Amino acid sequence: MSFTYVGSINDNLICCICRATFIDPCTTRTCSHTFCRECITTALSVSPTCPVDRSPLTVEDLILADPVVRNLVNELLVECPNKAAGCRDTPQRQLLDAHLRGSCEYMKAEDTTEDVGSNVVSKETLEAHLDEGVNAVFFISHNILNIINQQPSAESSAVRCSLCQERVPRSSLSSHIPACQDTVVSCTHASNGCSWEGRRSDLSGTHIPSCPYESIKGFFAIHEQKVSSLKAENDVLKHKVEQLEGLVRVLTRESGILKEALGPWYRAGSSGSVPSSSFQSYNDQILRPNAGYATSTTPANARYPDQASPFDVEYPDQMDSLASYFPRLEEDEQYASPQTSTDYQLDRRIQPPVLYLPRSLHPQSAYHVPHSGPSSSHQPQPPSHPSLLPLPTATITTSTSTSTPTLAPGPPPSAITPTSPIAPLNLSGNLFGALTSLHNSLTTLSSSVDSLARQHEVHIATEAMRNTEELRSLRTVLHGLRMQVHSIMMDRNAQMAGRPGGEGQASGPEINDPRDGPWIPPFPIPRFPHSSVSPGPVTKL
Amino acid sequence: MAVSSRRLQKELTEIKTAGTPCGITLLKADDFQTWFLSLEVLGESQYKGEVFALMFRFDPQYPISAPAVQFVVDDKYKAPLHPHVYSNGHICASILGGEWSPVLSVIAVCITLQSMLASCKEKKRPPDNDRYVAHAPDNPKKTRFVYHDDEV
Repeated sequence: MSFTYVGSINDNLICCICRATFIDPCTTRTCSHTFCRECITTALSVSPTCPVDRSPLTVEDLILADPVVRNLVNELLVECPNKAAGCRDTPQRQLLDAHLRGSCEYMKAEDTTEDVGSNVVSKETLEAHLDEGVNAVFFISHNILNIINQQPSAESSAVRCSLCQERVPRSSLSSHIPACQDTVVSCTHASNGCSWEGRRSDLSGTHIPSCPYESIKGFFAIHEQKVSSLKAENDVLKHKVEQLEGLVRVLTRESGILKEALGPWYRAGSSGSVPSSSFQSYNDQILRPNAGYATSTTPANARYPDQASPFDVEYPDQMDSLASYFPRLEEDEQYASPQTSTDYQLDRRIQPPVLYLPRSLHPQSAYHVPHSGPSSSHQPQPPSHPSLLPLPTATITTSTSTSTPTLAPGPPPSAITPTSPIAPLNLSGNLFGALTSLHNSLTTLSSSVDSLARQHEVHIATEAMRNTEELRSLRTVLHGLRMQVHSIMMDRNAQMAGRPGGEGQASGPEINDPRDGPWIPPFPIPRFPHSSVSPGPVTKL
Repeated sequence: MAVSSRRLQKELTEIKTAGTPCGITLLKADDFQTWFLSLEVLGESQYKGEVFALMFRFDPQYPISAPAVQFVVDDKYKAPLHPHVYSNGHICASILGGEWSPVLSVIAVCITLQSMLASCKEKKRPPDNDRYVAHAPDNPKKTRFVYHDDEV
């Protein structure tokens, strides 16, 4: 539908495809170009690019043009198509349709007598209406009948209701239809099952008194109430079930994650007794080292008071499993403590992560540290948490630091560096046990590394010293040789001086007295060739 | 009215009111199927002084579909000697094929062709000219041009 616009149109409101004013303008989301909806849709069906800048574009990228643009275009004044008939009106484009339907006095006669008995406008008229370019949204949101009735200055043309043959003003037609006595309705109890249909006047008159559903409408009401309360309860229960399901899902997911995290240590079923007992006994083992700990009121003991006696019993079992994690000791006599009791034997076994360093590198005092009881400041602290094992590491670092000054009297290196076997990962224990064994292995490793470092230092120091010595002696020898040569040359010079002008100055260059300054060698020293040749031409990038 | 007619009507009114650019004149536009325009390259160029004629043929889908454009070859006009212009007047230009956009117009095409001629360095025929002309269809839009070089 083409309009004849009044006045000149701003170029910005012209669609570049059809070169006409926008009809239902839409803008591209991607490149902000505006076209008529029909124009751009057709263009995109041929080539999915924006006609202006050829950027990729699809119909999904089209959005309604800015309301400002739409209003500008909708409010443009157009000439009434009935201009030929004499209509001089220039309504806004969006109001043209309303003008034609209502206020245009020059409309042809047959346009007014429409059959409005049916409640629905025919599809063709509606489509034609939309094609007019009027803002479709504005109209569709209303009752369809209102479209026909919306006339600001409508003449009250009376229309006949096709059913009851009553003359009704067109504007009140919509309100008449629900009340029209001749409309076909169904029984009021249709929702309960009554299938009667008939004219509204018949409903109240003949059907209701004889309708079987009418007499039991009380029951229907009660029944309805019950059903609705049951439904409400059902909804609540459904909601609860959903929540629980969600919770279950979350829990399963979490347990799955935990399972994965634990890996081989995941024990399906109950093995609750194992972790706690092994943990506790291990704790006590650490704390046990000497009599001082076992009976003293250390915080750990206070924490596990019930363990004071029973752990003696289970001690040996746990010890055996953990003993393998502790590296073998080479010599026993380094320990000054008595070795009679088996308990103490086991104590010593526990010690190794702390003590395990080549004895040659550590003064006895370091070993005594853990033995000295609560008085020493190097005591391992009871772990505050099962997963923390600060003891061995802390002790090792302190003991190594104290051992440094004793490096000088180095014993032969051959007695040093025993091997430190690392126990394999024990999957049969619990996670905690495995972790602690790993930790212990780590500490032994670190201690052996430390010891290696010490030895290395020792080696290097001795080596350096020897080298210095040798250098010194060489220097002395060289000096002596120099002196000899010097004396020989002096003799020669003296001889030469005895025969002046003879063979010329064949004595060679002047010999500097070494005491005078820098010594110049009596023979030319070959100069080391400087790298006077520059490296090949740099590759230009 | 068909979309093409409305659009061509608009273009025609625009030409009649605003005129044509320099070097381009409207020769004949009686219907909405075929238009003729003349083209001359102004300024210093290889085609100084030569006048050519362009024939535009529109289909009902214009401007969604590109017009068929070719140089007129008859006793009065000749096809320009250009690496993208065949001796039968067919033109190998991207905007007439894949790069056509509904935003373009008849005048826009003329200006593009004008600049294409003006920027030509060497007057010669396309390398496959004889082979193409021997088997060329009547409508250049039927040809699947392969656009090789961009410099010319």
